Amino acid sequence: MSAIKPSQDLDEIGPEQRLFAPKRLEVSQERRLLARVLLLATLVVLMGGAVNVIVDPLYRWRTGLLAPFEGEDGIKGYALDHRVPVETVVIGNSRALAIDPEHMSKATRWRSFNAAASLSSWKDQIHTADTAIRRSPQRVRHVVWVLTPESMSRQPREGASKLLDDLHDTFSLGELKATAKSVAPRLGISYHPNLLYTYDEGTGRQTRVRTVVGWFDRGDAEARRRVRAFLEPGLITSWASSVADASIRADVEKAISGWSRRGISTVIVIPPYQPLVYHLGGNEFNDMAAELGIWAATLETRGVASVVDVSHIESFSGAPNEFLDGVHLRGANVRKLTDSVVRALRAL
Amino acid sequence: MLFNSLTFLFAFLPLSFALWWTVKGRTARLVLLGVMNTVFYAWFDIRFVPVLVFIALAGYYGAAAVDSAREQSQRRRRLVVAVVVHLAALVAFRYVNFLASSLTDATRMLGLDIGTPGSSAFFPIGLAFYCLNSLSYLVDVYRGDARRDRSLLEYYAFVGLFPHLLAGPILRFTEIGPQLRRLPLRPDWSLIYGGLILLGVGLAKKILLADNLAPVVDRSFGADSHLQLIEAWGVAAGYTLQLYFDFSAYSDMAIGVAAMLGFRFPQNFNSPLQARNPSDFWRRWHMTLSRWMRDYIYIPLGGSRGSTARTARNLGATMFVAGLWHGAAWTFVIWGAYHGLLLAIHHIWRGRHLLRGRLRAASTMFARLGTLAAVVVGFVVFRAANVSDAVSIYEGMLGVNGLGLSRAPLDNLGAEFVGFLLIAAVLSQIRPNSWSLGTTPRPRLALAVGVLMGIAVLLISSPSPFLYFRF
Repeated sequence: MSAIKPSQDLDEIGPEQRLFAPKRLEVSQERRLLARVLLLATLVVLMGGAVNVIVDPLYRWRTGLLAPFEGEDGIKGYALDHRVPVETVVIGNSRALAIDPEHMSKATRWRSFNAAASLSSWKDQIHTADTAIRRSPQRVRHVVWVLTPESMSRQPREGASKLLDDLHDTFSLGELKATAKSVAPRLGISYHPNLLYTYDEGTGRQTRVRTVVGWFDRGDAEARRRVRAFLEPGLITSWASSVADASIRADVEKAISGWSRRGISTVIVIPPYQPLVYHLGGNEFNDMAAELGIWAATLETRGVASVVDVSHIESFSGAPNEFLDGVHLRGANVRKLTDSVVRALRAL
Repeated sequence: MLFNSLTFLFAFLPLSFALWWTVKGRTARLVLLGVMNTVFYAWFDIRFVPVLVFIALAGYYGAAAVDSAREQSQRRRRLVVAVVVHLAALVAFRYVNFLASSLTDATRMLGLDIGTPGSSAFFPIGLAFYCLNSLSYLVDVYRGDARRDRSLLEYYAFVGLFPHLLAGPILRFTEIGPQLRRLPLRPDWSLIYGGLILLGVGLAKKILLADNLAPVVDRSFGADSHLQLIEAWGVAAGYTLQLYFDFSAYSDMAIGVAAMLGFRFPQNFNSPLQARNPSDFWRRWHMTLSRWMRDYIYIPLGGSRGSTARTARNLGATMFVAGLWHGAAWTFVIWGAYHGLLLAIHHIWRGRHLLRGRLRAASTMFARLGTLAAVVVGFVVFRAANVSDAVSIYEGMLGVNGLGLSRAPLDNLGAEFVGFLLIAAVLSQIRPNSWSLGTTPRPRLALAVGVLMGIAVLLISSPSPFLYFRF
């Protein structure tokens, strides 16, 4: 190796280095300046801290004077923008959007965020939860996982969402908001700071699920036609094999065990179908739905996760007409399902 | 432990500061420093510590072996062995996957598929940085530029010195060794004040600027982003500013924390986005890395002593290595090669004295703008997850997806992002920079930094890691 001195080539790359050497001060002056920096910083922190504790705009101290998840107010947007960590993360496909995080936050006092996304697979959902946990490892306490046969299916989903691809790379609360805002129009879904609501196929309007007109308001014949279209025979077979698939089950259990090792408990929710779906679904569909419930129950028995099986509306006093379609809830059903989850969370 | 975490600011730093200035006796203080370094590093992952200890031992005993050899050929052989041990650690943790996947791709192109195995994703943060510290020591001992350190404790304190451990500045033993040998017994309050200013400025840069540019940049760098011209340039400029304010913030805080413990670190950034040419840029950006590359790659290759073509080749090769050092991905290789090309072109351009007199003076502003644009273009591939993502942004920057004149850039980027972009752009172009703020005490500055520091601390809820931790 050459022993050339560096100074020969200083004109190309690499600077002359100097070590940090602040200008010397008089003793009294240096202490005055030092005290000034520290005092001001402390004062600002104390003032900000006081506002935080008393008004609690970020919901850190849960004083309740200003709850961030109270409707579509600016505080929620502010909280999301500033990546305030969540304590309960909801994952699942579009059916999981029926869980109302605002209500859940207020009822449990744990900040909740619904990170469910339409068309997501079980792998997408695991990834979403993992990412949320990685971002706030000290904060996330619960994962509410809405498990559905549709999201456990290996069958490729038509038009799998670009939103999910983006979420994989960028998920954080602030980023989720920004991402969802930008891609939602392309996907034909509307954006809400805390929820992504599907739009109403019938009217073409992008409105909130809770107020939208669903199939079941348009007469029995229309509802039956739609349910039959949903229950495509090939799809039912695919769902049935996915629900029974040992490797998918192992993936799910592995993910839950991983979260459990980090002190995060999981609540599995088996969401309801509209009764007409069971009625028209035939044996294969009913067996498949039952199989999912049985497997979930074994997970609870083995202490892997808590289970809220509300696959039939009777189990949570749901109303048959409070469905947007065969699988998506609206109105009072949203509140009732969320209440069931809240009870499970409180029991943990 | 992150500098921008409440744990560091309100527990580790005050405790370290108090203990450091309380404990007497050189050996006791070196032991304390070793403990502080180890705790700081283990906070991320305790498995990182053995790697740090291994590198420290490799450097220490490697230098001892080099120093004790009597013949030049023997010294050289021992140096090569020690360097290979360091590089092997780097390759094992960082480059195995890259090499394996590149080999697989190459064999697939030939119609074969050998199916190379991957390695784990475990990578000790800062390894690439403290490896360079240790390598520079080895070479300096070999060259006779540094005396061999006879205290393992002292050497561990140098390699693992916690302020610089994770992302530099990259130190040389010749500048830190003497400081470790003469540890100050009493606090130098001027140094502590300067350090506190740098810590506050760094904290504000990271939390108030860099972190606020991050969400839109991260979202836009995904594949298939279809950005239009103005948006694409906005995002590319946003990333350049994010990286600058993030990395320089870390350097400011590292220098500041070190100063509070009585150590003087070298400058790492000197307003690089004001550079007038690529060569000037590399004298201002990540200065300790460019100094390392200059002293241990560029000059041994021959530097600028040969013909213009030879110098251009040396510059290209040096920057290629610099690119590869940043990470095991083709994007970094391309980025390094791109900067090598820029430096080579600048060298040829300057050598021919194409601009003279008034024309040269008038061109200063254009030179700054041109250099900035070239830097921004380069950082696109540096940031992208893969080459196709970079191509997607470049397409946007070339207007392939439209000029973006019909829709307001605010629509997609957001008013908040544009606001922070403008503030960051203005701050990157003014003087004084944080180094001069830290070295020149001003009463008003003390007030401003105090307020900024307080605001930044209030905004720490879930601290985000510094970008350069991945390198």
